[in-house]
Amino acid sequence: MVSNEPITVLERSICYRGLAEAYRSPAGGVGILDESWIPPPSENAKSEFLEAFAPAVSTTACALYQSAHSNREQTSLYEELIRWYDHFGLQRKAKAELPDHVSVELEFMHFLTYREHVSAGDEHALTTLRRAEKEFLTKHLHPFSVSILGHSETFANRYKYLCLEHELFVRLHLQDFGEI
Amino acid sequence: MSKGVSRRNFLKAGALAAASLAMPNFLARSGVSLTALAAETPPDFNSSLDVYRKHWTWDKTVRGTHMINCWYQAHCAFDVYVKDGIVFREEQAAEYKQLRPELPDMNPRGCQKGCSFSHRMYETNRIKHPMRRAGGRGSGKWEQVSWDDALNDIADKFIDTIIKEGTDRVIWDLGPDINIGAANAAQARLAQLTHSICLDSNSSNGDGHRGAFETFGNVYMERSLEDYFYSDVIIIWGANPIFTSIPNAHFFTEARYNGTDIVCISPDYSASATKADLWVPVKPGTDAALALAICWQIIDGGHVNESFVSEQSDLPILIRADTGKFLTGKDLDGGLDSTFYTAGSDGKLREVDRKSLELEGYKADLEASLTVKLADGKEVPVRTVYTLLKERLSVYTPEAVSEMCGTAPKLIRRLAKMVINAKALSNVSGSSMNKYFHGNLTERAMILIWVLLGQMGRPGSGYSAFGFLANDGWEDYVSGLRIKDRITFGTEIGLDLMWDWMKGETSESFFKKLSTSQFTDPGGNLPIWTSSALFWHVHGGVSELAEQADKWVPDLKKPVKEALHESLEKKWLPLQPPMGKHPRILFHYCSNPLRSVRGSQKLTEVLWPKLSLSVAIDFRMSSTAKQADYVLPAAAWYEVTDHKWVTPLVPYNHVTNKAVEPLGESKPDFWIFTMLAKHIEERAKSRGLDVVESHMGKEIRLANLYQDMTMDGRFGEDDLDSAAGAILEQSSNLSHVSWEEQKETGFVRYNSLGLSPLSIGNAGDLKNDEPFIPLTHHIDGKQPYPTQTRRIQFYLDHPLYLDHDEHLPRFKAPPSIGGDYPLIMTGGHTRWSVHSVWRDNALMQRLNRGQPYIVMGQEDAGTRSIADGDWVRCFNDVGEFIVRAKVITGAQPGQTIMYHSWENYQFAGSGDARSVSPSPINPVELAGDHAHLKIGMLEGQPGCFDRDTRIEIEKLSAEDSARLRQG
Amino acid sequence: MTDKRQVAMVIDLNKCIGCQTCTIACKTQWTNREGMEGMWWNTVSTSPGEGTPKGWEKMGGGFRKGKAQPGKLPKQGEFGTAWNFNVEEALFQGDKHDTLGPIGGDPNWGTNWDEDIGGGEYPNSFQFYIPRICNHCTKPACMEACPRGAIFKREEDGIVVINEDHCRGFRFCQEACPYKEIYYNTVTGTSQKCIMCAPRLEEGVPTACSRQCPGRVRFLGFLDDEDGPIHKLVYKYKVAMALHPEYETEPNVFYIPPLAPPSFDEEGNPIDEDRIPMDYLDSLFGPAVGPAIDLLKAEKAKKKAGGESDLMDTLIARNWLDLFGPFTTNPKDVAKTLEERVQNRQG
Repeated sequence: MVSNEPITVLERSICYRGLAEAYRSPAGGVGILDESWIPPPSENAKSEFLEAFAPAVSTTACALYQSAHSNREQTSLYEELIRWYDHFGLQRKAKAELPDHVSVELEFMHFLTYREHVSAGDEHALTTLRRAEKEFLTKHLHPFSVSILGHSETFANRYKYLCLEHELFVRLHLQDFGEI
Repeated sequence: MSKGVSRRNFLKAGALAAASLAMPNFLARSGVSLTALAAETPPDFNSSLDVYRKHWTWDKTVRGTHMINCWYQAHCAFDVYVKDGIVFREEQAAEYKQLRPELPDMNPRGCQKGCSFSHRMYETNRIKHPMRRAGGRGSGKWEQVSWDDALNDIADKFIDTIIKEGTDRVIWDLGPDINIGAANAAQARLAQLTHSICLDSNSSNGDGHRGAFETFGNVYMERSLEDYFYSDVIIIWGANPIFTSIPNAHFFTEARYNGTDIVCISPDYSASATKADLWVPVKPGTDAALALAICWQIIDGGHVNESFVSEQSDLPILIRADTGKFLTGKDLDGGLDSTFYTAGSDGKLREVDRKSLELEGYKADLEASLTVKLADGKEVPVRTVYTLLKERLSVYTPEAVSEMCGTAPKLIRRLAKMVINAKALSNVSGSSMNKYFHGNLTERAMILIWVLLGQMGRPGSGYSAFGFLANDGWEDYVSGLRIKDRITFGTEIGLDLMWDWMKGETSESFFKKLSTSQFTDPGGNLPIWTSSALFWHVHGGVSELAEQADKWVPDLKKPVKEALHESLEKKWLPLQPPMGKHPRILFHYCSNPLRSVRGSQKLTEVLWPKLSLSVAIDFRMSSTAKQADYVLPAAAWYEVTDHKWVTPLVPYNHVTNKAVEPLGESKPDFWIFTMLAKHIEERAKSRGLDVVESHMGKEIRLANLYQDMTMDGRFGEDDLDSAAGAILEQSSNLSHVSWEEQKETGFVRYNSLGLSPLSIGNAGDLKNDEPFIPLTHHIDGKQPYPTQTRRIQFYLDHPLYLDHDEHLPRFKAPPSIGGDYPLIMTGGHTRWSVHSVWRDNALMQRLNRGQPYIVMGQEDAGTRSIADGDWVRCFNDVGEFIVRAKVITGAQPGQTIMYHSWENYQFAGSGDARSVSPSPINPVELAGDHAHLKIGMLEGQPGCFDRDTRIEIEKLSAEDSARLRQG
Repeated sequence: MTDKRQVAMVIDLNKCIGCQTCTIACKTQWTNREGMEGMWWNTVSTSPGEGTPKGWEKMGGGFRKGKAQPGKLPKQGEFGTAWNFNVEEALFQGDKHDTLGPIGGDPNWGTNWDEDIGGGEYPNSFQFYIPRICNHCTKPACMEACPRGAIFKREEDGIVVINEDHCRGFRFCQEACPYKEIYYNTVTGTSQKCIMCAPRLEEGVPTACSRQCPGRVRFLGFLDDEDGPIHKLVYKYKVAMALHPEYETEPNVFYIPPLAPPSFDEEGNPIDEDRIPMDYLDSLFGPAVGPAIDLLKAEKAKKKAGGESDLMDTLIARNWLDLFGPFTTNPKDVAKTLEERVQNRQG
């Protein structure tokens, strides 16, 4: 990121949305993410996506559930994440992904940053939201992203870059906060 | 970013212009739009502790249970706690009513597995999408496919197979998820409508209680738990309830405080033995000798309950000395071969009444010995079964038996005295004995104790064998809610019933006949069944492992394979498809034969190459699913609404409610079977197929399959709930409480045994306010038993039994199955799993050892320089496997214990615990041409025998152990 | 100020079947949070054995003649680590044979590693299961050892709790506790332990380990409730006693000592000698254990002969809820009350 030209809050929010979609399906987020950032899906995207992210398919696949990347008991992790979502007024849809799926955590960041965008001018609200974003990234999404990145070496181009850029994006977002 | 792009390159042109919230996984909890929520002032947030301190409340709790066959300990009502569509925990409902003030209540039924199922259902190996094999079988290469693609392909192969080779080439292997509820009904209905074959897995599981079957013509007899409180001696024999009946166990520990003596007979100082007042160690597989020693003490001491045995058993019935067969009406005057005789002290013969046990003052001479003149003029001496038995048992003195079973004579006498003096004697049933080659002889000898003493049919008194209690509406549902119409005059079954009724047959006999007909003469409105043991032996190639059986079993009359083929050729036992017709499609309905079948290494070698399709329907990756062509993701037990059979021990129908949506793309079993019918119909129509003929000549209406499956749309793929309710509404024993109420309470007491062939044999009155006692219809009601002589029968004059000298109970030493090796590999169900469902669960494993182990005693470990935790190789002539050793103080020298149900993929190396167990068929179990030795539902089939397996154990070298160490 | 009262528990070792449902109940209710993976506030060990943490009885702590004794700090490995499994590799991977097992090599200790190993020599082997939680002692060594004053004993029920806001993770409490019932959370940097399900008790719900126990092993109630089973078992019949009373912390968890089938002479004949050596039981429960076992045997004999026994009836506890004194609420009903409270507050 070019430091003297900071990304806008809304841009960041839409980036999170695009990343969430990209982890949801083989060609997710193509209408949002610039191809110079996340490469477009190839002809074989369907199988490449499974090979990257479905452990059922590939020996080198990486599960996209945070509980698979830590030795937390799943239900306690779900509880903690749901408390996060709940605190900010969100409720899980009945057929939603499990709360620790990376796309769900990204979607939550999309929501928080979007709120940040609409709260422009309300300093108290902004402090609260930024504090929450920082804490959520620190406790959950960033270490999770690092772990995903660690599995990505053999992934097809689009998904390798997705893991790489996603981790960097999250990390730079974290660096942006400084002390709150 | 990493490539030095500017920020504008993150997003496509236009993405920002249309920027809005897009959140497929969330709603606003308050009901407002997400945009409105985003515009609200955010709640305070100082640290994540703010998030955590908030009150944590549940959206709802629903009643649930676990649709698993945990048999004697089934089932337990749970409250399932749900938040945001996720099950977070479960806790026992514990609302069972106390039956009487002097009896303990059943609360709080549950165990560590049930109390953590929510953990199990969300584990990483949960299957969330349909998967198709993308490499060779077992290669581990899979691709995710849509339900449509999977079901269309399966439907096409299904149609191809039944057109080209016949409907009997399609096999349903049924695992521990059989619930006698709607899920299982859908499978059975699909099998019935397409005339495909269902495997009765009870036989290859080795749970047949063959001895009870041989003696009572029926295996189904079990009391309700509270009744144990009326026993003054409870014998735990062939069971380890402290491991396997966790929610039931308090009845034993509490009865002990109530003055009851608990006796545990087992080779090892088992967990159950620690709760006993007397532990009787016995060499593995020699329990029959011990039982017969007790019997001899009863006879020799004059403790036989003569009126009971005269009325209820075959002991007074006469046997021809020349042939060793029963003296029959045919012998005497050309009458029926089902007429048998006793003799009074005056030497006069009397026909055994086939309609009633009532003797009306008549006193048979138990030791009658006379000569009768036969129709052909020949004069033959005849003697009673009791006389022959007494002669035979006289060798079982405590001293002689001590040599056979290793139990000290004084201990045998003390045990016999306790048993003889008992006011109310009961046993705790398990399935260990069935898994010894001569387990049938052992069980017959055990039953003899109870019968000689007349310890049956009273509170706290009686022998328990096989527990099963089911609704009786299931068969109606499976047959399309038409069976009740069919049991009317003018129909085949109706006529049969009328004929039986005129002959004075009991309804027990009638429904048993119905159960047998599903194996021997199927084709009606019920599914076709076949014995799983026969199936795996013949089609799976398991019998090839038993070619050396004559070396292991000393008194075989002919090679096991030859005996097996004779039985099949003479149609003593039915097998579908018959020998020579290869199975082509195998559906594994939550079954796991590659883990569970003894000698299962043969299946992938012999059976799998014959299969054009193997489909695993499961929610977890089992050993068998790994070798399948398709894995279809089933919903877990908190994601469906259905009900489940139990046993008389806990005579409550248990219901599970759909607490959350099925995870990912997983679907209820009911949906899967119904949709498969739909796809078969669609594919058949598109291929212009309408009706095909089944291998039995029945019309299979492929083009109407979905319509028939759903009963004209009444029970579509999404109508699981109403289908489950319809089954109960059809049930005579569960329709007294509405389905809605049953769902609400989660458990409802059965109001009678009902008419299911799986329950009716219990033959007693199930009441609301008293414990259940089995067999009272025979003992008090004087109804005859469904045996050849209509009595509890210890004499079997079938040629196979006469040939093998098993016409009367006796002791035979356990054979050395697997070769001449010094250690016997016993086994048992583990505390840590029900079948393999929890075997690889992280929570359970952290409380166990995380890896498979074989249990051995200090002495055997010491002589082999094996220490606790060492890697060892266990082997015999048949195979080998590698595990770690667990060295305990309670194992008998010479005994090892391999607790069951580790998945194959939990073993280091290629073998697994089943690799050393060839489980040869016991030839007497191939009988079928007999009045009561014939196949029926869950009974009368060959068993499986792994408990006599002989092995040697050696410590692995340091290099080999290091190689096995991971990480 | 409320009256000083003490919640106590009696655990009947004759009814305990070692199924670990209590362990799971506690795990899934309390110790499933971050940093608690290897914690088991409730354990069940086979005795004799090393127990959990491994060899805890030799780690010191507690008091002798009123004087605090030095204690050792248990290592994490001695509690048993929460090993993870290579599920993905073993279940879904390719041609090579992948064995499903713990990641990081063969485990050689776990919280229940000693299960069913027992003591003695066959056929005179012996063993029993012993569940343990924090004893919520009347004289808590942990409380005395904490330099921060972060550990306190609640007046209203005697539950010993750690105030995590004050705890700095010095772990003196772990050294001081002779039962080694305190764990250290490396994520929060604080010491944590059994809280006797205080939030459940406050709502009238029995502790998870008590209510979920299918063996109906645990009596729960106030020690001073003279009509309750605990008072009867501890003071009237004196059949319930503390584990290792010599540690002098005055535990409030008591045990009914185990009976066992008779042992055998060299020929395998049963003899009237206790299978579980009395000196072993003495070493666990002190000299009161002998008379307690004699009384249990005598009362059972009375029952067997058709007589009455209040002691046996109390231990049987035919009505399950009789086990729990005043704590008889079903947690699902409290879940609703909590919900209502939250709604009221919001309203």
